[in-house]
Amino acid sequence: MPGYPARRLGLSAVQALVVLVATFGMTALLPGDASSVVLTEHAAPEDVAVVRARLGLDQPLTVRFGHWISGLFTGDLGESLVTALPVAEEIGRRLAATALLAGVTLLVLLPLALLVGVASGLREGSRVDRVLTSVAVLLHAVPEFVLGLLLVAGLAVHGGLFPATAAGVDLLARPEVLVLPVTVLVARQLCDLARQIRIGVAEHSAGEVAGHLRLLGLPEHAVVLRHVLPGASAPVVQQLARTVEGLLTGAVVVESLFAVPGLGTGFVEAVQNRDIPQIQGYVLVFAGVVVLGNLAADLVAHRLTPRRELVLR
Amino acid sequence: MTLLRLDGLRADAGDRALLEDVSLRLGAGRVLAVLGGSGAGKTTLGLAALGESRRGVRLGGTVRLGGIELLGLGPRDRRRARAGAVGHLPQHPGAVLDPVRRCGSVLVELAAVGHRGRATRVAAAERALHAAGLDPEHWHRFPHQLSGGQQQRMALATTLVTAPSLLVLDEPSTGLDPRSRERLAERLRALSTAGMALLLLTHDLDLARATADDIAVLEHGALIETGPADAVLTDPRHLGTAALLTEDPPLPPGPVANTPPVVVAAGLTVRAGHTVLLRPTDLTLTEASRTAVIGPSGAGKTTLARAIAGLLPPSGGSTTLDGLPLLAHVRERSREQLRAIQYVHQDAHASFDEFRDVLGQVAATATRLRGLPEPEARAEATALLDAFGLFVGTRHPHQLSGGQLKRCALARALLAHPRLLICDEVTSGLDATTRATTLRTLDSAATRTGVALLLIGHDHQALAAITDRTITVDGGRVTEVPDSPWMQWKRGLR
Repeated sequence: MPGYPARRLGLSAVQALVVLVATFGMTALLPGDASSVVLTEHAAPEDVAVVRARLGLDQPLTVRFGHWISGLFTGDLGESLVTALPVAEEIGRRLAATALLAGVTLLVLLPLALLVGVASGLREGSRVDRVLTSVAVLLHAVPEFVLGLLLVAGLAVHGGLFPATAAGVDLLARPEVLVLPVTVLVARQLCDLARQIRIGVAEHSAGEVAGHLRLLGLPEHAVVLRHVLPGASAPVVQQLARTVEGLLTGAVVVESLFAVPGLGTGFVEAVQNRDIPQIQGYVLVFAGVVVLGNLAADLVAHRLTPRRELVLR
Repeated sequence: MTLLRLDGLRADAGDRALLEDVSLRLGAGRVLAVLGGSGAGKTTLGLAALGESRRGVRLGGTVRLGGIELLGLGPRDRRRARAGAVGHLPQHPGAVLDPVRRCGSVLVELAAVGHRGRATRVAAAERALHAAGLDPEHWHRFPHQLSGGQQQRMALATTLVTAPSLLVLDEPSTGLDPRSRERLAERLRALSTAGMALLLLTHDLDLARATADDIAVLEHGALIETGPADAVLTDPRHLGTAALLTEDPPLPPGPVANTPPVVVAAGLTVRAGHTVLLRPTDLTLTEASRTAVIGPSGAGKTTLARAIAGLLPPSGGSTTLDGLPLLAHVRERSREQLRAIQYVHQDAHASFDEFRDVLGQVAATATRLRGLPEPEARAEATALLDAFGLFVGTRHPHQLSGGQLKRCALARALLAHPRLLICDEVTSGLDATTRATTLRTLDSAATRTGVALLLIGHDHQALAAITDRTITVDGGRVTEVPDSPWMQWKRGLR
């Protein structure tokens, strides 16, 4: 029987296939097709036929699927029905903005979650723990658009500290426009990650391994960094995959709110325009991130739990 | 030179004394064995020698390690004072090895206590590995890739690498086969010859005999006798010591024929649809009898047990308790009948409510089935768990190990004062040490109360150690094993 990594890769391949079929299938099943977007609904039937022939919509479903798939492998996602620009180009541009937003968020989120999780986990049940946990849960409970609007009202409009919108701004040239969006994303995602770290740290810190090493005089920082955290890390890595998914869905709201020209705003626009090739492209990107993110997380987590080979083999 | 000096040491858990007025001296190169039965306070004493205690336990008196009073120090200073001065080998050595780290790297890390420079640390780690009796090939292993005995030696290596002048060993010989015990004794002697002081907490007389210079005997948390090993072992002055020295507990009595029957099953049959799970079975379980039920999995062992306990209504036959008929279903049985037959589930963890404290759940059988008031039930449960070597406090199931929970489940069943105790796979899923402890617990409890035991398992060897009769179940057919080779061998020893 092949090893766990091979089997996990196989699973991801199946998932990817399902995603492809489902993405194409569902957009193909939608009532009305691209011709009704390009033309109006009251267009003459002969015009519709011309457009359908030009877009290849008159061909059987399987042939269209074949074209679409072979296009994918050459990086060709088709052209936007609205702008007639290549979808891949558009998405690529927007992906950069979202990746920047998500990357900066992770850079802030990870150390913060570690700090909060370790601090509360090592003092489980203490006042520090209760305060940190309450704040994290509270932040998690506030929907992104509410927190975003509050921050805009308080810090941007009233306080004038940060720009309220990233509309028409180069993100790299003026990084301060990222402050509020990143804050909203971090606030929302902190809870799950920090709590996962907290529970792992609390469990392993109270465990026999940590107790033994403390008895032998190993300094506390070594006990925590080299034994408690590594022991707690596998579920945290898997939670991290959830966090990346959360950042993607969060991006849809946050980017719209702050007018960041990223995947989120692009996706919303594409749906509003019924721009089917674009929608397909976005869905593929989102699904791809989820599939690859979970694959990476599972493989890393597998490495981090050597004992699991006994169970999974 | 006195390395460790305990004066008037006491330990309390709530208002219960675990140790009282313990005073001991231990010098360099000496081996002091502290003997005592289960629950005598050996583990508490071992931790106290490092100035530590389990949660909920308060220490009093003084613990001087190399002239430094440990109990007066804060946790950080205490840890610093201890580092490299004293090592501790806990009772379940497998549990203290980090499952996600390769053993060698942890040793190098621990070598930082007392060694400077990477090369020096690696060399120290290699020496410790060798001194603990392990091979270089074990360096790159994860703990789960080591056998139980190797795990124990690896745990020993983790303490040796800090180059302590005093080593505290808590029951180091449990779960080891005779040959490994001998080698452990040799290893300990070598360490002491090299100048290390050893504090040996054990009930293993052979190990004490082979290694100890001095012996202290602990009973209910108090020292009842101390002296040179030869004198204490050959000429004990205290009755408690004498009792402890009366070799291993007597072998269980042969098949009990003269005691009155407790539970008698006649033609007991279980069917599921057209499938016969248990063919008509006659079985008599007498007072104080100990029956092992063995057989392959799926053969009907659990079916038989559950049918007797009324957990699985039989489709035919009858069961009597003390000559009176038992109704088939547990719900129809009287409180007295429920009390009389107790069943310990295979999965101890699943048999406890995870959101309530264990002590309360253990005590519940006494309140529900014997009508004891809550405080008395709790007191009795505490005492029984104490006798099992368990201090549960306010802990919840997840705060206890599998072996501990299993013993809690046993205590819960015994607290009902049953006439028949059925244990399903009481040893499965337990490591050798825990298995031995659990069986010992069960053995002494059964001897004390005269309860009839029905033990289901596939580990015949382990069960045979404490049973006197074996029946096999295969394909739903129950067969008596008249006199197993194991029993014959055991009788031959007498």
